[in-house]
Amino acid sequence: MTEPSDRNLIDAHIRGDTEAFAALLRRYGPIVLGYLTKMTRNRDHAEDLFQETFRRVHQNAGQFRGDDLKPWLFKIATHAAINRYRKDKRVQAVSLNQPLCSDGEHCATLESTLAADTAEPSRQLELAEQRRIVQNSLMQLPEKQRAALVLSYYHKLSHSQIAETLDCSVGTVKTHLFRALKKLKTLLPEPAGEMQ
Amino acid sequence: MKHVNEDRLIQYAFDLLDTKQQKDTAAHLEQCADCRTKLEQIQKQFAALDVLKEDAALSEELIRQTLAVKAERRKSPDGTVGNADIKTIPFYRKVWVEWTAAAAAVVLICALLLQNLPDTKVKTPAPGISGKPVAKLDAPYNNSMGMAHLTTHDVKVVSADAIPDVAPFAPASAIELVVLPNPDKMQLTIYNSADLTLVRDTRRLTLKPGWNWLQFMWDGTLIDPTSLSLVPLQHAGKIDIQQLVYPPRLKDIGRWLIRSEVEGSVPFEITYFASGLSWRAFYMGTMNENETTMNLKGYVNVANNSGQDFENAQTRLVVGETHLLEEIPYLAQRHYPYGPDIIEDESVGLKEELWVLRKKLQTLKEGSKIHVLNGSSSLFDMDMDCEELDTTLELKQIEKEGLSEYFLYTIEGTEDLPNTWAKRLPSFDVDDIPVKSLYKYDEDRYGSETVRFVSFKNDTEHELGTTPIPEGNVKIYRNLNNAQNLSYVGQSSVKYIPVNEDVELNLGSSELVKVQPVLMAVQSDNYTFDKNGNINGWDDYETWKLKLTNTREINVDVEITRNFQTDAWELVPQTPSDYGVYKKHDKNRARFTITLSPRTETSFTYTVTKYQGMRSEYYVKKQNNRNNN
Repeated sequence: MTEPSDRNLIDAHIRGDTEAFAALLRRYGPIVLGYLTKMTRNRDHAEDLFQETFRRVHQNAGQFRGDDLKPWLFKIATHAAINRYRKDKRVQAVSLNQPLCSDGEHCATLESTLAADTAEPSRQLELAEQRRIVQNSLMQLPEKQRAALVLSYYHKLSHSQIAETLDCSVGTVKTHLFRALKKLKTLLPEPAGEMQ
Repeated sequence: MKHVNEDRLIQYAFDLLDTKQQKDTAAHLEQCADCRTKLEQIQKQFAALDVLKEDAALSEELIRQTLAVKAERRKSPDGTVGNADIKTIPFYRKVWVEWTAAAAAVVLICALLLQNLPDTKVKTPAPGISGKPVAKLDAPYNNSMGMAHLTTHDVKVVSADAIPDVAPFAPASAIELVVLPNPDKMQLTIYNSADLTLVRDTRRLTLKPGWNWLQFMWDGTLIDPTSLSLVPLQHAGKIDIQQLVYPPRLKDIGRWLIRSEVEGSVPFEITYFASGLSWRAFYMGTMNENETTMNLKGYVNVANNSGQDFENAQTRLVVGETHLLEEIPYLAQRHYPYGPDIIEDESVGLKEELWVLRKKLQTLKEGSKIHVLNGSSSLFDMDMDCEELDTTLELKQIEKEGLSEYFLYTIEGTEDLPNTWAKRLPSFDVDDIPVKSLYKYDEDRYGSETVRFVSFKNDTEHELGTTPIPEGNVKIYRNLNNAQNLSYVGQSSVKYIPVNEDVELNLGSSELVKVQPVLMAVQSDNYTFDKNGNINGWDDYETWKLKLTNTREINVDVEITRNFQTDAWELVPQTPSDYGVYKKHDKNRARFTITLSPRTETSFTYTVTKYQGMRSEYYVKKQNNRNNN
C-alpha cells in the first residue's frame, strides 16, 4: 500500500482527521528535530522549537499550497530558530541544568561513555569530541548561512528549495553557502597527512 | 598552467559554480594533479561534517507532548474540539490583504515624505539640504561640474567675532538641524566595470551665522557614507565645513558641522559614491542582402537600482577597469560608516531585504494597472511600464571623450532615472560598414562544425574609429530582399574594442555551409634502420578528400585549417589544383581559403606526407636545401 502524500495528510488534518497530523509528525519529526538541533546546538531548545514548529504547522495548515511539505516545514522551523536566536541574543539565559558540552543529541559525558556497552570507549570519546568541534563550528556561522548549509549538506535540499525556505534568491543561497563553507574551512580541523 | 584557487575548488566541490565554470574546473582538474590533490584535501576536511549526519532520534514522549500542545490549542473557547484554529485563507483574501498592506505602506511613506518636502510632488528624494534665503551677496561662483550656473542669491556677511570659538558638541534639538531640499543640478558618472557611481549634485543650503548642523540621511539607499563630501561653491573663505559626525544609535544619518560667517542661501556641492546604478551596451547589426555591408546601431541601457530617484541628472558613462579596495554596496550596508566590518549575515540580510522589496514591487507592477497615487510622479506610477519609456525617448546624442585610463560617454541633456527603472538610449547608428563574412572549419577549435564569422574594423575606413566600442552583445540580422524583410543571423558578444582594432563576431555554427573531410588512403614507406636493424624512421602518407557544400544563394568564403600533429610535413594538392592552394599557418597546420559559388557541392583532394623518426631529419635537410636555393 502506498503511503499517503503530504498533501493528502494536510487535507485530512484540515478536515479534522486526528491521525493525519500524527503521521506527519512521525514522517518529518526526526529530520526537523535533527535540523533544529544543528541550528541551536542545544537539545532542550531544539525540542521547544520542534513543538513550536509543529504548532505553527497545525495552525497554518490551511495556508500550505503545493505538494512537497519539506521546504515549507523547514521554512517554519528556520523562522522559529532565527526568532529564538535573536531573542536569545537580547537576553542570554543559561539553564543551570544545562549539560556542560551542550551539543544536544550527541552530548557524551565521560561517565556515560565509560558505562556504555561498547568495545571502544576511546573511539566514542573521539567521536563526541569531533561532534563538539563540528557543532561549535556550525554555531559560529551566522544563522542564515548555518541554515543554508545544514539544509543543503545534511538535508539535501536543492538551492531553489533552500531559497524558498529562506525567502531569498538562489544567488543569495549560493552566497550564504559559499561564505559558510569558507568560514568552516578555517574552523574545521585540517585532515591528517598520509602516513609515509 | 594556471591553478584553480581554493575558493573555486570549494565552489566546485559543493556545486556552487555555473555550468560553464563547473565544466572548465572539471576539465582543469582532469589535467592537473596538484589541483586534484588540493580538492581531495578540501573534501576530506569537509567530510568532518559527516559526524552530525544522522537525524535526531524522536522520542515517543516528544511526539506525545507535541500532539498534546496541538490538542490544547484545538479546544475552542466553548469546549468543543475541532481544527477550529486552522486558518484557511482564500486566495482572493490574501491578495486583498497584500494590497491593503501595500496601499497602507504607500500612504505611510507619502505622509513621511510630505513632511519633509516643501512641494506637493511626491517622490523619493535624493539626499540633500534646505532653508530660506535671507539676504543677497553679489559674488558669482564657478560651478566645478561645468553645468549651468545657479542663480546667485543675496546673503549677509556677519563678523567673525560674533561666532563662539567652541563648536557645539551636538545640535541642541531637531529644530537646529537644517533640512535637505532637492538638488538643483545633478551629475552621475557610472562606471560599468565596478558597481560604482560618482554622484555630484548642487543644492542651496540656507545658513545662519555661526554654527550650523546639516543632517544628511541615506536610509534605503546604497550610498557609501565614507565618501561623502560637502563643498561650498560660494564664499569659501567664510564657510568652513568642520566635521562630519555619525551620531550613535541612528542608522544612515550623518551630520555636518558648518561654521558660517554668512547668513543666507549658499550653493553647495555634495559628492559621494553610490552603487546600484549600472549601464551596458548592446548592438544591432543589419547586413545587406549580399552580406558585404552592415548597418550597426549601438545602444546603452542605464538601470537604476540604487534605492533613490535621480531627476534631471546629467549622465556620464565610463568604460574601463576601476580599481576599488572596498565594494560600495558593502560600505553602504555597514552599520556605522567607519565602524567595524559588518557581520556577513547582516550584509546578506540587507541584500535579501532589498531583493524581497524589489520582488514585491515587481509583483505589484505586474499584477495591476491601478493608480496607487494619483498625480504622483515617479516611484509609484505603476501603470507605466518600461516599454513606454523607450517609445517616448527622443534620440539623444552621446558624446564621447577619452580619459587617461577610461573612456567617457556623456549623454546629451539630462535624464530622469527613477529607482528600479531602466532606460535604453541610442548611442550611434552607422550605415554601410564594409564587412567580411567568413566560414571557418577547424576541428581543433570548433569540432566538426563550420562556424560563421563576420568581421570589420573599428577604423575610419569602416565608417567607425572615432571611439572605442564598449563590451556588449551584438545581434546580427540580414536584409532578405528589397522589401526590407529581416532574417535573424546570429548573436555574439564583443569585448571592449579600441580604435583601429579588428572586430570578429562569432555567429555560431552553420548548417548551410559544410566541410566534410574523408580519409581516402593511408600508406607508409621509406623505412630507415639503425645499426641493429631496427626501424628508426619512415614516411606516412595520408590522402584526404574534402567535400565542400554551399547551399546558400550567395558566394561564400571558407577557411579550412588542418592540423597534422607534427612539424615535419609536406602537402601535395591533387585535384583540382586551384582549390589546393594553401598557406602554412604554423608549424603543424595548413590553411586553405576557398570561395564557393552559390548552391554548389564540390571537393578537392590532397596528400600529406608526415616524416616520422629519423626521416624528420631528412625533411629538415630538404627544407634547408630548398631555402638555400
